[in-house]
Amino acid sequence: MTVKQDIIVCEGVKKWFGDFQALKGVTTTVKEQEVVVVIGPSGSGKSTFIRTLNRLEVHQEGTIIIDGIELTNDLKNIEKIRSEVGMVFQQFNLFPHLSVLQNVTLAPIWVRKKPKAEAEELAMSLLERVGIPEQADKFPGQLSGGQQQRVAIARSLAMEPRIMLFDEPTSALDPEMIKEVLDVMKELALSGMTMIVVTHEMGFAKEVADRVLFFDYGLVVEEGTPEHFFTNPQHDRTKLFLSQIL
Amino acid sequence: MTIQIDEPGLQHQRVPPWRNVTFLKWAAQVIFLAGILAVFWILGSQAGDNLEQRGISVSFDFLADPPGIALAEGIDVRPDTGGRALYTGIVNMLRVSVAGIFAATILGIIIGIARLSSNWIVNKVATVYIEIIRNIPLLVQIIAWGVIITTVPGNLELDSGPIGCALAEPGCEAWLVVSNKGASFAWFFPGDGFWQWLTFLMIGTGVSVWVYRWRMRLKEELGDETYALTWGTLTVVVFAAIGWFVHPIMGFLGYLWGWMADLFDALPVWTVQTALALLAVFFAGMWIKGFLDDRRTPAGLAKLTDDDIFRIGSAAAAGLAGVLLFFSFAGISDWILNSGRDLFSVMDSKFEFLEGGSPLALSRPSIAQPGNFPNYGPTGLTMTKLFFPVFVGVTIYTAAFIAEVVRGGILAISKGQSEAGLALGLRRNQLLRFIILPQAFRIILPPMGNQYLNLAKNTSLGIAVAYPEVVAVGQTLYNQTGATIPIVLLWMLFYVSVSLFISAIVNWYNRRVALVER
Amino acid sequence: MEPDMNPGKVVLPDDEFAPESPPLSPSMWMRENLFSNKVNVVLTFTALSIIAFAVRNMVAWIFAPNRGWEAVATNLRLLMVQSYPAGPEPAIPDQFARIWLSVGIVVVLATLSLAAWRVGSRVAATSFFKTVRTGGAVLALFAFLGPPTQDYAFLGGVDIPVVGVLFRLLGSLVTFLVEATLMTGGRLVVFAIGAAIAVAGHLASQATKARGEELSFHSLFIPAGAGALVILALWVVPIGHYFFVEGAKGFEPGTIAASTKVPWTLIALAGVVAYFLGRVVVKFLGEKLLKFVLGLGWGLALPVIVLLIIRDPDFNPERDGGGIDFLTGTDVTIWLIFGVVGSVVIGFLSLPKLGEAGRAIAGLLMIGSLAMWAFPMLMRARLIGFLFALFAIGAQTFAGDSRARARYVGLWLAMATLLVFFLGAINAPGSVEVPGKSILGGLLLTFVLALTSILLSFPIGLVMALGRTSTMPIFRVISTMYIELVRGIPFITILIFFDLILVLFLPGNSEFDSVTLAILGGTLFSAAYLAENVRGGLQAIPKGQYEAAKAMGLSTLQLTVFIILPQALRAVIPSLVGQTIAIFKDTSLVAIIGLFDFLFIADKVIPAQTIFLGIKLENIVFIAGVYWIFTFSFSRASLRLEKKVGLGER
Repeated sequence: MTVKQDIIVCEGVKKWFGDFQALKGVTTTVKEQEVVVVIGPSGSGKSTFIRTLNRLEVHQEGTIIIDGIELTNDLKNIEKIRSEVGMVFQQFNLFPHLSVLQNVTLAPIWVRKKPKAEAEELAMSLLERVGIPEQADKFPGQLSGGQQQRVAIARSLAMEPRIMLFDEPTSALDPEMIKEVLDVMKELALSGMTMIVVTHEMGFAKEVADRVLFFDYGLVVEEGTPEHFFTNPQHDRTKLFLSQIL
Repeated sequence: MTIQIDEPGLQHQRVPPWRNVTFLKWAAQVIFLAGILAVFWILGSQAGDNLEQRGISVSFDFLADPPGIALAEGIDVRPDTGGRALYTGIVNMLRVSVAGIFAATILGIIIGIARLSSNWIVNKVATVYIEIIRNIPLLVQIIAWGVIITTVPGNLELDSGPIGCALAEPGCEAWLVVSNKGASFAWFFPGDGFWQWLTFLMIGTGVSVWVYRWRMRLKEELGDETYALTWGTLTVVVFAAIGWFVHPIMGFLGYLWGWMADLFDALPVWTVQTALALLAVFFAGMWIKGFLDDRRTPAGLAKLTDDDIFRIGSAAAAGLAGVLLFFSFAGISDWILNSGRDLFSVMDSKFEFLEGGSPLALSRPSIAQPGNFPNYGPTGLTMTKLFFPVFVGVTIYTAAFIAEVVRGGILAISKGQSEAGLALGLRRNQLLRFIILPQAFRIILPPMGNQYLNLAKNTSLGIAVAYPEVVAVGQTLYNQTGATIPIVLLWMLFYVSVSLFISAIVNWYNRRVALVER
Repeated sequence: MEPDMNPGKVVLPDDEFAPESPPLSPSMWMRENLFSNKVNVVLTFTALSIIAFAVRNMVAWIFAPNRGWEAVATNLRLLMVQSYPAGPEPAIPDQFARIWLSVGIVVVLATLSLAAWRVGSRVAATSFFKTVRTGGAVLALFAFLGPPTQDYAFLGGVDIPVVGVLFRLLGSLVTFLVEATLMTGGRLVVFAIGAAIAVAGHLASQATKARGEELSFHSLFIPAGAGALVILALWVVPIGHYFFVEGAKGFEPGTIAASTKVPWTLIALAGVVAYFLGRVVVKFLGEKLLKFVLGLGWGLALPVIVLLIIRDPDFNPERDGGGIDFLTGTDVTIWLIFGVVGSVVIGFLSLPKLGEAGRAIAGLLMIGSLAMWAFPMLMRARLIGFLFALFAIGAQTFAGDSRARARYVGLWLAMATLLVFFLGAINAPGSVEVPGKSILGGLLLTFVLALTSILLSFPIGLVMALGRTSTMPIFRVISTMYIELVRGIPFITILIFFDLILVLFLPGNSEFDSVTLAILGGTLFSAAYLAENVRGGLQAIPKGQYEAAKAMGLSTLQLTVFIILPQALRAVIPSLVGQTIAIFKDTSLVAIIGLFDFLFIADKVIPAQTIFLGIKLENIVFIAGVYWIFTFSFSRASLRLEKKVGLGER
């Protein structure tokens, strides 16, 4: 194996919401093709953290460097990073007034400026990849939660990103639909995508993750491989958290 | 303006300003603001030239000059200054607005409930009312009422006269009189000592609230019916009854008001200026302090974003602007002093006790002199042919909207809540009183405030039937003096104040309700 | 629901749309709905006396022999279009065909739209006959309650003591019953017709009841049938027609004038033909094409009708010597510079790889277009320059691949051409000669004012709503101040402001007629209310929509245009219709500043004519009826639309 490059570098990332400090200095790096799972109790800042990575939230102190580009006020950098970092949300956030196909082709056409036919071809191949090509002409409201989330993944992939962020992608789903989404994510991980996943699915973490980050009170409390993490956690808070959810 | 803080050990890339989001954001806003100010400036300078050419005045001098106009009705039909004329117009506008709000609320609630009635025919009558009234422009309705009142058939020479006595007989009194010059009906008018008695009544209301709460508390403790509402009402009645006979003892208040008037007269202008300036600084300071406190964490002051800094800056600027305003325009402080003095002297005169008589007396319309329909006087409450169309028009029109608001509010609550209430074993009228109405009121109030605001604004249509409210008076005034710009500015100032006042009440109520909810 | 979010919103009860409950026998129905308890009995009788009182006085008033309905009938044309040239006046050529053409265009567009959007549904025959039954019953009731003689003195006399009113009410209830049995003449005829319709409707509804849904017809047949009946009535009913003969009133017995019934018949026929044509087009070419053409048609209808058909601009310079030469004048130059050269520039600016440089150039163009206002220049050039700068700024954001770019450039070229043409048309003198000051008047003016204001206020309202919800404080404060200021003051003060004061702020040579100023006032007034409506829609959009779009790399402009506005507008369609109705009603206020609109003619012009001196209430009642028909049908349509939109959400 060749030596992988660092694709995400965070150093001392801090973030306040008014008088509440959500991130208290997060420092970590993610290598290319690495799958990182972020876990932690709610309110621990894990969602805020991955949202700072494509500047949906603006960090106020510290440095974030993605693929050699620093995230700052620079308009050009923000545009570049957003088209290279895909994101999947807990609530899917599909556009309800557009059909599934239009949802997927919107960004390639208007951001990447691809011809419509090419964009549609790409969209169909992605919908096939997530297993729902037959739903292309339906509207999001007509799909089940699991299908909607798979469309959301296809929509992110349509921008051909180098990094994918998942913000609790299965939390809003009924239990029987979780698997179909996780299967797509596993396939994506195996194909070599760099992924950061905030989730409560410990099975997914054990099976797919290269590394697990445990967040609490706006800090990375502990990090390590899944084996280390689930069998031999070091920190008290990690132990407490794992005992509550496992 | 940017929020980057360089920390040692980390090299940040330098961002050129034309790509810096924060910079672009503020640059766009500042340019936009500058553009708007430039447009105003250009328009203003243009106006200066035009005004000079056409000889139109922009000064407010007309407020103090004799206006040379007479008004059809109002507290002062021959005002000696332009300001007094506008003031009369404002009073007329407020008169018709308050009367309209009062009547429209009652009519609207009746129709709104009728609209929900299970009685088919009542329901249909209410529906037809609403569908007809709200789909015809109000102005058309007001003009129609104006024509109707002036074409009432009848004996025009004698104006009117009640049934039962000879029409022209002096001193003959009726309950309601309608003629082509207006309508007059029996009404209570304040007499000597009315204000003293009102003071009693206000004290009584305060006490009755206390009594009501005490009985309610007792009810919760004992579990028995304690007739809290009856007790509260009785308290007011008792106070009113006692006050009716002993109200002269409140006469001492008159001296108090007189003393206050003297005080306002004696105060030099600079004291008010200083006080107002201090108040401005104080409020700005308090706001900034509160804002910073909000941003303070146990670890120290949180980082301020560019928006935060802008807000603090704006607050400080507003405070400073207030100080400058109060010191550069001494007229404001002077005006406050004068109106304070006038207010208290008026109150002083109201509390003067002359020769007795009852504080409140019923007066029925009578024809003191054939052919002379009373304008303002003790003979019944009169709606002139100018007041009548505006009042009836806005009342009937707004009532249709209020009815829909009331119906919507009750329906919104009644669905789930009714079932819950009935399941608890409440009777129907209990359900309405304890569950539905209090909650519906909460929903109804904001849109109701909106309707009141619309009603107040709609009284300006009185201009079409020559009712001398503030817009009509203003129009007459600028036709006479040419002071169009100042008068339009005064209109805007007046109406914006009225609307801010009403929305402040609604907002205050909303906030109170929201607090109770938590 | 937060109480302050949408204070005007009133919840609709479900029961209005609930299916009919199983039928009760008449006596049971009455017991349940009218006489269920003592209070209800009292209420029922009170309501009945109110109805009896209102209907009797209404009928008495309408049919009183001294009513001046002739004033309305004779002045009908004046009320509709004021003094638009129509016949026999020899000095001014007849141009009335232009009015009929405009009405025809609207009717044809409307029926085509009915075909394209497949409006209507199946209506069961039995429910239709039930409506007929109700209609007949109401007619019979009116005849029944009407006064027995024509010189009935209606209530409202000299003195109305409270007791007297009650006496009269009770008394009239008793006399009604007596008089009702003594019906004679016209009253009896009307009663008999009403009763016959009611009975026939009832029998028919009973007969078709068993067949239920299977015996049904398309709901468009109802308005079509009603229209056909009206057209037929124009040809057969001998109501005669009124006209002016040299300042006196003339009357011609027989049916209505040919100059009225022929155009209406032709227009109705054109409408029917257009409908079936539309159906054929939909069947063979698909509805997408027709909908696109119709969208274009509706969009251009207002300027084409007002500027081209009604005004007929004279582009020919030789006539009167005052015209503007469209070919050699400034318009072509402006079109060449902005349209043709501008297209090239926009085509260049939309090159995908231009990136930041494109943005910078567009910014400079915007500054340049704003600088145009500081120099003496044709207003047309400034307006089109500003629009050009807006297009240039959008070029990078809204241009994708080569086809999308071509479409963008084409859109600009079309906009520039239309704008130059219409602005040229506004500036060219009209060739239709009109006696009065303004070419628009009467109901026509009312419609033009309302539609133009609402259309022009749309973009402003959108921008204001976006400004008010913006995260940028200065934009937010300015938008909020504007919206609250305008909403806080009465419309009439705004109209007066524009009528009297705006001119003072503009350069000395600029001239505006009072119609334009009223449109300006109406536009800025309705923009504030529209902004509040749209704000409601914007606030209803979940935050996730913004985040998802941003995460995909869409720019703020793209996010607003592609994601936010479509959803926000869909949510506020019903309140936008409500706003249109409100503006339609509010345009009556221009009568106060002396524009010859529908109300002004009824209120001031007709009562001042020597032959109809002082006749006012009749005119006011007539125009109130016309206003009512339009606003009532709009609001019914919006209710249906609201239901449809609401269903779409679920």
